[in-house]
Amino acid sequence: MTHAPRDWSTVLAKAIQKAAESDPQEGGFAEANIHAVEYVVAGRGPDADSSDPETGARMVVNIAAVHVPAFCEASRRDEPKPYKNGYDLNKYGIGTRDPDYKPKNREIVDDALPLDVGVTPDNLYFGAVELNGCGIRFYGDVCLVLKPSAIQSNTVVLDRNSYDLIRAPIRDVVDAEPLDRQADVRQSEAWKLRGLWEVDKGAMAAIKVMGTLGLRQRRFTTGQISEAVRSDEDYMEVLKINSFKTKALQEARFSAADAAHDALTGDRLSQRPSPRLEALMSRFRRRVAENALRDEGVSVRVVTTPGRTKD
Amino acid sequence: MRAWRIDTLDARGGLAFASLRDEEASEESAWAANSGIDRPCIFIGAPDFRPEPIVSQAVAFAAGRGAFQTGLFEGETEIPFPTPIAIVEFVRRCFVRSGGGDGSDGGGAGEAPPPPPPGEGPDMPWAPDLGSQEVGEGSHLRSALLQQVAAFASRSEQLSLTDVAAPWSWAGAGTAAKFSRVGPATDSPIVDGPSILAEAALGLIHEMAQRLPPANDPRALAKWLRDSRMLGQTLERLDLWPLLLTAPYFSALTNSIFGVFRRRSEFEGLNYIRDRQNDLAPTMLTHLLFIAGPALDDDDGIVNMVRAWRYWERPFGFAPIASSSHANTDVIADLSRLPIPKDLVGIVGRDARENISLYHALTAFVGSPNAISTMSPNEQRAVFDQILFASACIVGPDGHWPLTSVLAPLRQPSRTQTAAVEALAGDAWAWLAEHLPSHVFAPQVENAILSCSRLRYAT
Repeated sequence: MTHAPRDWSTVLAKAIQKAAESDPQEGGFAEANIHAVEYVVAGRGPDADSSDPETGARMVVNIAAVHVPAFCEASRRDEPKPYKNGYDLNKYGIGTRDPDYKPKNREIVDDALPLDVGVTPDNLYFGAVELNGCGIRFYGDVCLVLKPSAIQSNTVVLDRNSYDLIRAPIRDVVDAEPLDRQADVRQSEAWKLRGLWEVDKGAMAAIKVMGTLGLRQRRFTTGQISEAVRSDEDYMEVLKINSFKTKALQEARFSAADAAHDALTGDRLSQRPSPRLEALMSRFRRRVAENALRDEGVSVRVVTTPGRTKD
Repeated sequence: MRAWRIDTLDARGGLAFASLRDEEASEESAWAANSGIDRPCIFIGAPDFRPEPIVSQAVAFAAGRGAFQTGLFEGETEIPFPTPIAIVEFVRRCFVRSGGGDGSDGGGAGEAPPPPPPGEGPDMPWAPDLGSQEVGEGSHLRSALLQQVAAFASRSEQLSLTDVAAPWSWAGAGTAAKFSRVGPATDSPIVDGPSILAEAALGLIHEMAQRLPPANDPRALAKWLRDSRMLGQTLERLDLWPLLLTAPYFSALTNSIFGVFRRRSEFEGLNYIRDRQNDLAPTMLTHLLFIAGPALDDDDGIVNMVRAWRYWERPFGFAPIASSSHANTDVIADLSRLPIPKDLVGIVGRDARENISLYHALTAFVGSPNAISTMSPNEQRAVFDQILFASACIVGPDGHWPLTSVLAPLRQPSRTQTAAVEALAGDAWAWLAEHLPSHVFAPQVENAILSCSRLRYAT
């Protein structure tokens, strides 16, 4: 079965045209705002022509601070897979289930992923498209930000979490088909979510931002764009082929909330109430993680606002 | 059976998603055929461990792309938890217990104890008969707590995979009151608190003394001296030196200090004190090795220190502790630098390394108190002493300032000094009791928690 990739620029152009048809002024704002999103994603700023190598959309992954020293050590040893995916970590876990057990959900989703010929899911490393934030914090308190040079131009980007393929409304579309066709239909639906890093992520981000912020007769700010490109756990997914090392990192980020929590924990150490052990452990592990990253030449920043990052 | 179940879990990271649902069916695509993943779930994360509602399991299962395992199973049985609170406590205990494995991954592993010098002879014996008796009115925390741990293990044995969790209280081990609060005493003091803390301190001093590196390894020596003096200054902050310098502890302290000479005869300054300072030698050596003073290879500096000491001691009968700071900027880092006695390293697991710190022991015990069940009664006692000591380091004395800053050997502590240490022990117990498990689980689940100290981010 062949699948046609989506033309995200056309989708975007149609959205502008539709906005202009209903209200010319709103159409003008939509066009300007869409360009602003594409500029910011490209690292040029809302109205700038030249791109800043430090800014722009990046692939990020979140990882618990406790794992960072091992990632850094594996990078230093030049191991083939310093950063690990769920397949690599099949034996990382507790309980007594067969370590070769493969989660059914993952198998269903992986079978549908819109991958090029020869690419297998076990060699995919999933991340999110992020601007100035600190990623999906559910998955870990350390946000690793990859350099643009670490991402190949033809890297697949999905406009949403691939697990949305087994969620309504896509799941309803699939379930409406006979059983023997469901896998093919699911894969067709997956291809509709697919774009490529270099050519599509700007348009995909613009569509996502417009969908989040809506048509408005106001210009978007960098902070608003950043928040909409990755809003809570609503993100664009990057399917990077092959693992990466610390050398592939532009920086690592901590959230302001964690930084504030650590500061409060430190303050409570000098006077009672004494901090809880879990807070002390988290602070300690983040500090050890920062140490390990800086030893590898990776700078660590605290995200203070969605519009920018600061040391 | 409908129950709360783990969707995905990073046990070491203290991160998990869970939902109220039936057991995962074994047939292919069972999830999709039933309710898919459009089911609300909760997120649980360190350090707060408060359940946070999430609208869909999509974010939960996507976590399995990285360091999260999918589901929690015993064989083919997916473990059911009766309440979200039980699952939160499970994740919290996994996280805390995993601290027992911190620092073993390499890569900026953080602070660690000074390593035992390689290839050296047998250890100095450590079996002091301190004659600690459970006498006096008030609560005896050590024995009560150890009985509670045994009861905890027994209760676990009564549970099963169909009845996985039960609430648990440690109140039977003693009132967790804040003893340092000003006001009329409404709770009896923990009368064995001072002896628990003193014996833990002696164990740490003994282990540290054994690790004194040779004089021809100045870098190792610098680390050892920094760590040993941090230990001594911590003991000062906790007001424990007056206790340690009197019976029954002083002789054990002296044995540990003089035991250094069995391995190390090359430090001229130490030999000078041992050979020429008679009755003051133990205190001077204690001060030099464990509190402050010149570097151990600074012979002139040590002679000058001895002169200054003599000047103070002659008119006043004591010498001031010349420590530099009581700053407590990261107590976890400090605990990570303190090696626990070698006999006790099993608290973090059967395959534990030698270089287990007090931080490892504290987290391993708090996450799995029943880990001591396989140890001998003396080891259990000693482990608990270390845990209460670590807790005392975290809560510190009232106001965080020591009561006295003098070394006065063989003078009985005053009632005020003893009361201060009793209050510290009480506060340490109050803090520790907050962190001990609020739920006991079936043996299979307890074993899963135990194994968290062995988890590594590796293929």
